[in-house]
Amino acid sequence: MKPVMVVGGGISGIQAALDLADQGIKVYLVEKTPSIGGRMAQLDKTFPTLDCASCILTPKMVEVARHENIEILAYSEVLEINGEAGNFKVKVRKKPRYVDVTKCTGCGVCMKYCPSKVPDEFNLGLSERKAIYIPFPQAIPLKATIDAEHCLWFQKNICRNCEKFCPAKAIDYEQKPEDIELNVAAIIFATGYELIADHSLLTDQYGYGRYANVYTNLEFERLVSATGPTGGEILRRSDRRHPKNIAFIQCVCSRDVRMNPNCSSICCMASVKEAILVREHHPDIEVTIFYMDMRAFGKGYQEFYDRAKEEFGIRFVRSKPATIVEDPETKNLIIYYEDTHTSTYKAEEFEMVVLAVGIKPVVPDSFVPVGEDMFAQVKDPYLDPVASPVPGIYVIGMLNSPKDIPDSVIQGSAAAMKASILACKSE
Amino acid sequence: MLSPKYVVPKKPDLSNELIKLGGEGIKRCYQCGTCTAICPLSKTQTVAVRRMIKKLQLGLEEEVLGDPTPWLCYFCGDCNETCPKDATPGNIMDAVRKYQIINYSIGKFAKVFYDKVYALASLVVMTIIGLIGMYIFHGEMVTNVVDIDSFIPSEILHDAGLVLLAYVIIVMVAHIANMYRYTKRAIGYGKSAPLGKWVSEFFKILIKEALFQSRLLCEEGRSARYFAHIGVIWGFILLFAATGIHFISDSFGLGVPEIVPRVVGIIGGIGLLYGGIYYLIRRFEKKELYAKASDLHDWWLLLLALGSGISGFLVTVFMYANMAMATYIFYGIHLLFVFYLIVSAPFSKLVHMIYRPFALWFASVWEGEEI
Repeated sequence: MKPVMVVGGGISGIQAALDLADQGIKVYLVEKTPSIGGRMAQLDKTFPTLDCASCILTPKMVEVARHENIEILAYSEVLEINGEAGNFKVKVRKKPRYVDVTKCTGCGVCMKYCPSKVPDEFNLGLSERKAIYIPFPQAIPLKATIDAEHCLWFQKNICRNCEKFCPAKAIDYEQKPEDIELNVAAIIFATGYELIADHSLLTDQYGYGRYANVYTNLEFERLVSATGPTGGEILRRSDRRHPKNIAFIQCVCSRDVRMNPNCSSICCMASVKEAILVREHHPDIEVTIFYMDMRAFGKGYQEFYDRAKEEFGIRFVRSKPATIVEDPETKNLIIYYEDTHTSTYKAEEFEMVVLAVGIKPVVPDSFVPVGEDMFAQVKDPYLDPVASPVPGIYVIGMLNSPKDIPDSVIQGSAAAMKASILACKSE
Repeated sequence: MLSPKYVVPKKPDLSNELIKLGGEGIKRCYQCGTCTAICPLSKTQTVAVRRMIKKLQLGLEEEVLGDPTPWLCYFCGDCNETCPKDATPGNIMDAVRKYQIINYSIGKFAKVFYDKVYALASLVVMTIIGLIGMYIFHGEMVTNVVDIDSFIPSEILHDAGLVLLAYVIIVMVAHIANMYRYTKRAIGYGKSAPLGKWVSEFFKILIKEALFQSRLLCEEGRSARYFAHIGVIWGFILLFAATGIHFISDSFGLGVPEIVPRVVGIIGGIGLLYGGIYYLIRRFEKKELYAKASDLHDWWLLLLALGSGISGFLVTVFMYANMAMATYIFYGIHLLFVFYLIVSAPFSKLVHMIYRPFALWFASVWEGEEI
């Protein structure tokens, strides 16, 4: 029985890996970044129950780490796939961490002494990390990684502080990329998504990147999170104080034919959740959500939306704002919009704006065919929704189509079942 | 707001009709309101772009016919650029203007000028009438010197001009009456305003908007278009004035020197040519959003205005060059172009010079819009 490869260590890939491993099938879990966890690890709470995301996710991550049938290939990328369903030869490159993972204990002393500061990807640039880093405290594997692009030793041949202070003597500047070839029966791609953050709608009309107090929803998720850069305090980027009111704008770079006609399917509930979190953290902050259609389609979602209105007093305005202009003195933001329920044109001032930015899949394009909608193609959208047209390859999670956590988990299990059939048939 | 008595859709097929007139994005609109909020005019007044599209989607024909909104629009194209559904609200406004022109016109006769075949037929008919008229009334063609007056005597021309003027006034009164009826029902229902307000608003709009287009100038970065449009407006005004001076001087024996109306006419002609050529280039370039999709209604006005301007200019040139035959031929062509322009005026795009001020007038009196 051959192993199965799962590419992408987010919630969908984790579920697929666990379901396969529990059947006694060996799994290689390939993850591009230094730690598994994916987007869900960055979320504060989940909708519609407001459960703590990390509290659900991290036990699963630990289960993956301790499972005898799962081998995590973190900080690695798939280079080449040859063969056919039941017998793939996959070349994987393990990128050098410049840290001997067999020695590193994850104590974090190196991070204390590293002098080079870099915007922290995990907090979406809202805070800084060091050039040698562990992405977040619950990272798996809990091993340090040197970011050679920002490391003084690799850039200027000076420093070597981490080597001096590492109690385990785990630093190894001589590491080279290592290519390995793996023979697997099936491959499951769960490469996730990123935000569409480069369109003029975002940068020109809404001033993201120009105005300090305009955030994307993922940035705001980190801002409101207890493990985030402010410890869950909602503080403005411009003056580090609480805003009096916050506006959420829905459908930014989604449902827009200029760059992305798809509905991202998660932002309605994500914004409702973030708005509720604001009211829970600071009941005196007024929250307005600018929406066009509230898509509350999942189990418990409509009730969640109703609670937001009735219990938390969140104001919903049916409109897509046209422009945001910053007051240069106060750094407050004036939103120009038409309230479409009353047909009135308004200019309203807010102290913080959160944009529900649309998503696009991270596509391993040379390996899976992509449809016109940017997402990975599937063999049959009704009867084989997780199978790529390429036999033996499965596409799940956000790569497959926009979806929330429950649907991503369902697809993880579904693809695990499909892949296990191939694995069992293989010799 | 929609008045309750019209909530029942009157014409389910309305959006399809407007799509044929160029508003192809109506059914794509998902009512987000970006168009209304991005519109540069919104800052000072109610420009209900989204609401107009909603009315079209619902088939509220009477509401559409009574809405002055499309006449406020300059088609700057900001809404087209920012529309997330590519519903082209600017084009929809343009289509509603055409729809209103058709429906305000007597027997919906304006339809003729929106159909290529009928429009061509109307040109042929007008040409025949014009040529017959010139053949009957033309005088002696003196070929050794240029003598326009004996080619077509000015008394006859003046009489023809008066007949055409009367025609335009009578037809336009009927059209404006239709516009008033629809607009009153849609936005002026149960409202009344003192006569003083009607008068003061009339002069405000006439001067600020009709003569000087102050709102077009307010739009940043569009001064080239402003001057071109002012050139066309004042071109028409001065050419009309030149004819008027000539006529009054002749009929009352005032003896105003020939040079006065001629100079006024030449200045007007330059303005008209400048603006006309500017728009011609823009419409060929297809870069500016208003010039991207030009249809018959745009070309009709542009080509007739340019045709009368250019032929009139050539007449002047040939006259000074003392080329008699060429002068007479181009004079004939010039008269034909002016004839087309005036006969089609109450039905063509040119009628916006009347409808727009009236729409602004009704909106300011009944809706209290600041002009």
